[in-house]
Amino acid sequence: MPPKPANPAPAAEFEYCEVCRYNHDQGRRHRYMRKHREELDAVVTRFRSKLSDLRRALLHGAPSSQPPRPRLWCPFCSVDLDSRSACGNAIYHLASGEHLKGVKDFLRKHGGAMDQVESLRISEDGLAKWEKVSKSLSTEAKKGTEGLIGPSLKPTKDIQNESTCDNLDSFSQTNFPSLSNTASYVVMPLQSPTNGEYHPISTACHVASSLSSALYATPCETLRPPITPWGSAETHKLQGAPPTNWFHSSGPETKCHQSTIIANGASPSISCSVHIQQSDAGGNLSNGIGYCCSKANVHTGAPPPWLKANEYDPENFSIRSCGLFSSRERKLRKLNPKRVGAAWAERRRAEMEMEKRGEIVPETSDSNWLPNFGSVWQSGTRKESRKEFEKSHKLHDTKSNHELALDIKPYISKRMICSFLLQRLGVDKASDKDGGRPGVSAEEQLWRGPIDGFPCQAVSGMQMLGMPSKALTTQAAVAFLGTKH
Amino acid sequence: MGSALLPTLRRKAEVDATIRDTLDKVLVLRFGRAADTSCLQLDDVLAKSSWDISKFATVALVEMDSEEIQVYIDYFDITLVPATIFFFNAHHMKMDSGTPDHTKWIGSFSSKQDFIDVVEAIYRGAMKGKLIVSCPIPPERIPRFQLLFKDI
Repeated sequence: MPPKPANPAPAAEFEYCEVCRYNHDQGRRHRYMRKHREELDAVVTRFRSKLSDLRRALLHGAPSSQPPRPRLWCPFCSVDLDSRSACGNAIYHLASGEHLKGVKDFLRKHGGAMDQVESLRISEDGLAKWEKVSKSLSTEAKKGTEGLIGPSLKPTKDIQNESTCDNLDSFSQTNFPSLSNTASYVVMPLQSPTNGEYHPISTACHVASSLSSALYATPCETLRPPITPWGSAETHKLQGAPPTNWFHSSGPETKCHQSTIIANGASPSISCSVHIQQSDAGGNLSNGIGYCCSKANVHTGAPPPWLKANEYDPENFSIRSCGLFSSRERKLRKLNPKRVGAAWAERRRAEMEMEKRGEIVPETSDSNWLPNFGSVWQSGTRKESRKEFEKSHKLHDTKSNHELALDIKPYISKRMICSFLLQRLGVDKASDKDGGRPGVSAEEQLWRGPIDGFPCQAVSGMQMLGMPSKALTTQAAVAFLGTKH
Repeated sequence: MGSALLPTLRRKAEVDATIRDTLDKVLVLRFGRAADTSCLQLDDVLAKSSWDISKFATVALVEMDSEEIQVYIDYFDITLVPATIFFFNAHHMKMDSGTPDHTKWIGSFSSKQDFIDVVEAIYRGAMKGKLIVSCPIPPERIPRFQLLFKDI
């Protein structure tokens, strides 16, 4: 039977599957693969959950239930939907015909079940409901904030006026919790020459939807004069930074951010650089480029955060270090207890801990400590090698000691003894015997004939005998010398 | 000229302290003279790889010409220079590299990677509780020497 070919059909050219984000050459087969089906399910589920959140929030229309996620990506139409947009783009899109078409195409292309279509869009009924709700909301909002809502620029021009400030104050106190913001950092603009303390006040800003329309500054620089009357009690710590820098640096940010400026009556501060995320009350929200107080950063000369939070650092650090240490301890506990020198390591670690704490554990015999070493020529345990070493070491030491202690005794040779003896006994006798033979050594005399006197005889006898009796000879000689003296 | 990175130990107390205080890490002690050529090469290899193995090994150089160190030279029976001795938790680790002397590594390493491999083998063996490990380097890269009996 011929073996099955690996690729039964000629594969298509490589194409990109957006769902799995995968390049494949399997053509239409790909969409029935397990992974693809799983990815598709994931995408659809994700979208559906977001959609249901959106629906719930807007159709049952309480302002408190604004959708937490401001942006929605429609994967079917590959379009970004901003739910904070004024016209409720998201809702309109999801109800539209293009979206329906997109959903159908997507499902067909990626092999999804076609009965999901309805769950992935907003029906016309739903759209109608939402429009009703949004209208009602907008009217409420209008009533609540008179004089502040409106796309007009009047409020900006009125910033200088106290009345507007008061309104703003009151409005901020009403505190619409509906809108979330990201930045909660509050920075006071530099209003007067900084001589002294800087009291940074960071408050979470609560931005009401309608406020966003309230205050706008056209270009950044023009806002400088308006700000000065505000909160003049606060001095800023931007000692080195002239106000111009600050405003200039915030320039590029204005394009990015939408922001509001709130003067808080309670604590005079300006909330800056607040992201406004709302989708509410109809089209009342005007997106304008607001004046953006930049965050305190290097360019503005603000003090670095690590210097400010000094009092917390040691606590945090200690906590962190404890955390690290505990993880280290955990790691150490996991070390193999059977590893080489485990007992030593534990003991030594305990000792080091004690030393750190201040209890010094003095080790005796420090100078003689030797590590555990297995010598080359050693056959038994390693302790033996150390014992042998210590033995040999001791011998060396003792040898050197003995040399010094011993008296240096002179070497006494036989000849010395003989000559000495002869001197003692008398050379005359020897000379008498031999008369005219000069130059005959005393030893020869001894050798030739017996002479009265035990020692000489003994000596000669010894001499004849030879080496082995060396000791005896010397001993005898010493004894003799001893007696004589 | 030892390396700027590697500590040079000249006194017995220093050597003792190093051996006793290196816990759960391999301690590599090189006994040699700074001026010797093969020592220099070995020192170079050691210095360059010391950072790479710093997580599980410490490297130190011991000056052989110091008087206090002679005790160690006798104890470890060091005759050929340079000699590298491995310790783990104050216990001496032996390595069988096919040479007559398993207690130390004589000579230099042909490359950093060889040295790292050797230290790794020692670490693995020590963590398993083995006092002698076999050398991961193939025999052609192991420096050969003659070991003389001590009494001769």
